[in-house]
Amino acid sequence: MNDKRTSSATVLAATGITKSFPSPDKTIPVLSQVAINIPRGDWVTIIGPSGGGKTTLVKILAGILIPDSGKIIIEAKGEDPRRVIAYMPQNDSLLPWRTSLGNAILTSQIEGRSRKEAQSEARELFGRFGLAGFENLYPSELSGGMRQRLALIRTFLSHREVLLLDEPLGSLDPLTRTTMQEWLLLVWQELGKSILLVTHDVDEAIFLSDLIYLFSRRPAHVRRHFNIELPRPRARTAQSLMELKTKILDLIHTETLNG
Amino acid sequence: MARLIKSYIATALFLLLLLSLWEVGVHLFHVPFYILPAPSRILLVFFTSLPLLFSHGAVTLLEIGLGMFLGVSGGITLALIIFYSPFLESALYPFIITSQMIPVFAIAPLLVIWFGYGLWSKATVAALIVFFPIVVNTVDGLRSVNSETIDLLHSLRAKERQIFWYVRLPASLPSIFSGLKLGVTLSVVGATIGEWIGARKGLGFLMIQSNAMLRIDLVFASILTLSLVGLLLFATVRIIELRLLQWRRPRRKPKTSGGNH
Repeated sequence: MNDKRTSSATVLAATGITKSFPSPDKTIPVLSQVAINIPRGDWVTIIGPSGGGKTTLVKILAGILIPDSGKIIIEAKGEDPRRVIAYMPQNDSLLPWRTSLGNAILTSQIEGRSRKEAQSEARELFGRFGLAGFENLYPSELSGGMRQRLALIRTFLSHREVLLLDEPLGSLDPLTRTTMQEWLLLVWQELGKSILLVTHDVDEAIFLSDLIYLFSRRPAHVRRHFNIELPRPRARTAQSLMELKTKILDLIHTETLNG
Repeated sequence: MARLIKSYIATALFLLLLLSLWEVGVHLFHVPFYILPAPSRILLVFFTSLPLLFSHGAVTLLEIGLGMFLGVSGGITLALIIFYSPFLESALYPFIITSQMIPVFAIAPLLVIWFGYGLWSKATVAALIVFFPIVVNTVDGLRSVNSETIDLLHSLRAKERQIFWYVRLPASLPSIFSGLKLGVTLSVVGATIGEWIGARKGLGFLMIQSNAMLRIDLVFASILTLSLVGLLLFATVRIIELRLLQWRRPRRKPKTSGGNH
């Protein structure tokens, strides 16, 4: 444990989260006693098999779904606890009738902040995310990668402390994806947010995270968690990262084979 | 663009062909003008009677405008009630549907009795015809909203009022405009029917009167004016639609990300 980590308190935690969905003949258990902890300012990642309930957990944390049982703890630093979390859904959910800029300032508008301020703030991020000059285009005029970057800008501009990112780089090609990972790291470090990322890309998880939760198959629970204390920027091919990757992949494979 | 012009040329040529056949046919078979006037005569009457057509047309246009306003505002209000209240939906929807089984022609005489020979009976006929496509299309539009988008706004703690203005209304605008385009065409029919039943002015009234006096050329000139009014109204709706729904016509083709090779 380094100094930063010991000093960081929890900003968002969930314990004993259980959720099942009704289906015509029986209920399908999706989450079983899930417990995770997001330390303030840290990058936490959930990896696990697809269809395993990761998105369900994120939706519960975002306040969209209600768990059957369990507890969510939000440690708000004075602000309204309902205004701590920002959620970026798996599909970008951009509003097709708003320009890029209009989409970026959506949260500010909902919260009734000054439009001018929100716009100038957004323009700054457009530059950093490589979208400068695209402010007045509609989402349908952007490529898939640009749309995802725009959704990220919208999420960052929400002024929330915790960002829940559900596969935010899923539709990017590998080259754009690695560039975006580095960008995300820079923006995250600069803005001092706490991030919960959902991905099934093990490389992405170990490159970015302070803490990784490995989820089981459905009904999902936390199988293992890994603290990564390597300083950033990390070399993607560093020995310790490769060892961790092998370990995680082995764990995933043994579960698949034993099933 | 060239293809667009080409398709217009095709339409114009076909129209010209039809009109020439009509013109030649009328002269060739000596059809009397009080049965079927030649296009040239209709056009002549149209231009010489412009002030008359204009004064009657203005009345019809006013009826249509009022009918559209009543039908559209009533239709959208009803659609919102249906969308937000499942109870009122099950109470009202069957009635709204069955109301369409009653031909408006059948109740138009009643409306004249109730609302008199003036503006209001015609506006009511038009409104009754217009409101149905508006209700159905608006409800469809409100229901077409992507639930993920609503989830996102809920996660941002948006109020229902904000969700309506930011998401539901813009998402249903394309459907509302489909309803409006249908409605505006039907409103011309509605106002004309209303005028046939009983009126003192208006293009429908002029048609009935000219018909009785065997001024078939003036009947045709009235029909021509009515279709021009209809076209004008349709074009107006279409222009507003194009302005409000700019986002549906991408000006720039999206590039695929990183696909250089």
